[in-house]
Amino acid sequence: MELVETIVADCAAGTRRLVAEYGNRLYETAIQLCGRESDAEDYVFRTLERAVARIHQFGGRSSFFTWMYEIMLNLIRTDARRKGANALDFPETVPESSSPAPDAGEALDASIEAEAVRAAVRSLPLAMRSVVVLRYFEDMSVSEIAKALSLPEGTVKRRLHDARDAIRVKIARTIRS
Amino acid sequence: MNCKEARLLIEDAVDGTLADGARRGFERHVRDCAECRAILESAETEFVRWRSALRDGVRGRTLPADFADRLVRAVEENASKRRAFWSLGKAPALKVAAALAVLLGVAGIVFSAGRTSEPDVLVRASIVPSNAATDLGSRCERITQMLMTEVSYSAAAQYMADMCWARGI
Repeated sequence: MELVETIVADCAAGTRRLVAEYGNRLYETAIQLCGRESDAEDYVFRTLERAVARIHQFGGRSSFFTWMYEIMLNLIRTDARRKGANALDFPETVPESSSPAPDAGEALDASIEAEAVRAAVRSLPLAMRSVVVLRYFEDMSVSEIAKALSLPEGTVKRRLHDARDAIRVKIARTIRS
Repeated sequence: MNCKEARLLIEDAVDGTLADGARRGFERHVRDCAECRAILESAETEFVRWRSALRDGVRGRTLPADFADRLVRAVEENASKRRAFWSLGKAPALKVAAALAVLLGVAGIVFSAGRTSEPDVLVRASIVPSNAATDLGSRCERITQMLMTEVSYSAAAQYMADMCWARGI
């Protein structure tokens, strides 16, 4: 891959090109994953720093962005474990399966619903949030997500299903309130 | 296919994960059933709304202007430290002996019959100053945990190398 060769040949130029090509996309994804811009910037910095240091480990099995996404996710997981946060845990009770309410979107002002969706995604455990971000924000298919996260497709589908139920419940609560 | 079966497949239909046979049956049913077709359209609309919500939430957010400069400085500093670590430079005999002792310590932990999780085992196996034993204890414990619980011994060796490099050993 040309970018990899550039980084190997000229670290500074390759790093700048890495930031130019992937920096803002990683930043937007990081904001989705960790919710705060300051944290997101820190994770992008550490992710790109690690990606450059370990550039020889990129084997081309996945896209370059997916490889960096895995690095970033591991950093977030490691930090969450160190802090003892429950971000990795599934919620104790997953809501009963819900179907999309045909009129929910029409009943709410679109911007209110949009903010409710964002808040709901931010409140998900990391395991669910990471698949939601890849599916909705990065538009990856279930099989691409499974490869990116080294998970069985069934697990990805299950997490998406549970995440959707949780998001719908939170949106419904927003409507009621 | 009846409505109950079709509605169980709606998420798969939106995500494009229906198997061929199921997809044909599902599409036939949805073509004929207005209620299930409405639920499918609602699910597809919901997908589009949520995707827009997430994308709109970060539209226009960009990294600070000095981000690239800071990252390049950090990367170059890391590269410089690595070069200094791997070049023999000062005290080459000591560095070679330290590297061998670390490798022997790792090998001893891996292949000995009675592996222990006590960090001082690695400390004793490595040439480290005695006054560094305490603050190396937690690092050695981590290395031992990696060897005992994780698959990649090369990861443990890399961690040990990073540790030595960071400490300027």
